[in-house]
Amino acid sequence: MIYHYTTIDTLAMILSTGKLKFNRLGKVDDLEEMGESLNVKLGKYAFVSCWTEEKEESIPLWKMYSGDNHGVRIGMEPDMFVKNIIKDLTLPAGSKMQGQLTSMLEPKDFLSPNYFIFPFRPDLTELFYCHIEYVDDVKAKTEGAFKLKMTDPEHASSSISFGEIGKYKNKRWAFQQETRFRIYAQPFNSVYGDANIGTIALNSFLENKPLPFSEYFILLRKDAIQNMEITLHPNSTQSDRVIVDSLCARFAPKCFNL
Amino acid sequence: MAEDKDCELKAIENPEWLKVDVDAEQHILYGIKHSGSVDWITGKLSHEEVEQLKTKIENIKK
Repeated sequence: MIYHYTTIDTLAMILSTGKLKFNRLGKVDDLEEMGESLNVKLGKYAFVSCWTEEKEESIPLWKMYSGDNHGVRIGMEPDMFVKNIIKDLTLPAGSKMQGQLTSMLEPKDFLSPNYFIFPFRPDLTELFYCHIEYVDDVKAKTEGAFKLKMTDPEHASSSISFGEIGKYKNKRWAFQQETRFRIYAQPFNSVYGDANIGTIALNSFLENKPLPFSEYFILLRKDAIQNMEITLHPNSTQSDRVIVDSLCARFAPKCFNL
Repeated sequence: MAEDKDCELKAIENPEWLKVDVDAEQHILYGIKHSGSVDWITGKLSHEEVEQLKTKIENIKK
């Protein structure tokens, strides 16, 4: 079980939509996490949902994320996301995809001309579900993530280690014992590209091309929602209890409401 | 998942690559590794593009 401290408003959105929000890394509370390398703001392409594996309730996390003594702590199994079978995509040129793959994303996400999200599988790999490493200098860990060089007089090669982005926080945050889900979105899609996809990629990142969204939602499995454990803030009121009970009764009658 | 411009899109298992674009000779043009590393090579750049890129790289280094 992993735990997410949040407001009753957010609980209502999760239960009513069945989706979990991923926030752009540049919008989380630690500005050091923005992750800039070669002037490319890599944090604008990273989206995270923050949790902890610590079962013991955390007073600081209650204070920071539950919204003025009226929040909840949500407990869920890490394997909580839908597993869509993606097949028979009709590609821009009119041809069909061969084979199939399992993805937590929807088919439309593979065909957008403006972005491509990865990892798309819901497997709990270190890239998707990571334990935050608390370090002295976050910048030193991420500033070399973008590598760019001329391979010969007419070609360049590049690489960006996105796995390093959203993985480190300063030691002052260590009390959070944070784990997080991470996804990344590149601001182009090679399905619509051409033989110059490398040049498109290079220019997109060097120009910090924006994405068409600033937050992203991924659908949760229905059984994962039904097995959710909800803990009310220690100082919650009777009306908080009524609201949470009503939400559970309507959207997740089997969830464990403490 | 692999991609080339003849068959467009094939879903296959690969221990290194999550998604990769290859040309007709199976040279990798662009790819995303399971580690999260995104790698690519540019196509042949014009003299003007090379000069612009060199300028950008120099400016970044400053």
